[in-house]
Amino acid sequence: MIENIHTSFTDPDMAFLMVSIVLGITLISVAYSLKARQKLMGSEKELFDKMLASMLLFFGGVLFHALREVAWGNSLLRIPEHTLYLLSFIFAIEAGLYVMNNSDEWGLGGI
Amino acid sequence: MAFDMLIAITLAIAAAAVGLINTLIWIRLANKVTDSTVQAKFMYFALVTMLLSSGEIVFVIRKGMKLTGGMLEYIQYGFIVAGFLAFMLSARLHLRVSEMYGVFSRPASGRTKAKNTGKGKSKIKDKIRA
Repeated sequence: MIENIHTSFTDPDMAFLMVSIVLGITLISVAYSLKARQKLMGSEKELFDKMLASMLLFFGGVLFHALREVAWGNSLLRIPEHTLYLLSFIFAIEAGLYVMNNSDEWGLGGI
Repeated sequence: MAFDMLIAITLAIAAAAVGLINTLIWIRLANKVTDSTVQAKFMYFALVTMLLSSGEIVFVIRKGMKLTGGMLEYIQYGFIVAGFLAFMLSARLHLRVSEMYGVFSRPASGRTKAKNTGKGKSKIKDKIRA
């Protein structure tokens, strides 16, 4: 019966393995980022916050995927999963535009 | 095809498109910067968004071909894990750049040593003399 319910990974444990790997990497990244963030100020700090928010939103999407696996293939959870992925990219675009607007302040010349 | 799947695929296409535009923005920024370390930082951000949006593209292809499970799913999540790895490397690079150069950094408040001007010592010596 379980084989019929699972719509995604052939081996559902694979989803948890993937989420564990991503969780581990995310935690290390956040630790590095927070360490680097302490040395930034003003607009540089805001750029870093935007990139961090983007990554955390994407991680939220991965967590929804794991939840979908636990909820026996509840396909409705795909919508928040992909919405979070989309929001993550929108945040990253905002970060890119932010760099363009602040390029003079950071001494990068007119980008 | 179920309605929720259609919404999910629409969102995934939108996410992949936004991710690709984002990659182009970061590459464009990297090309216009002369400092090689800042350039590397922007290229890392481009790599992150490219890998993550590739994961979304594989999802769209997989659902379009009605393939469940199998190798494509491993490739999809391989891209996502690689994207997070690239972000970790970019955070490390940021840390290294902020420690080495002044482009994106200021001295850490806890680590800077106070300048030894010798004034404090002389005051103590004066007091001892007195």
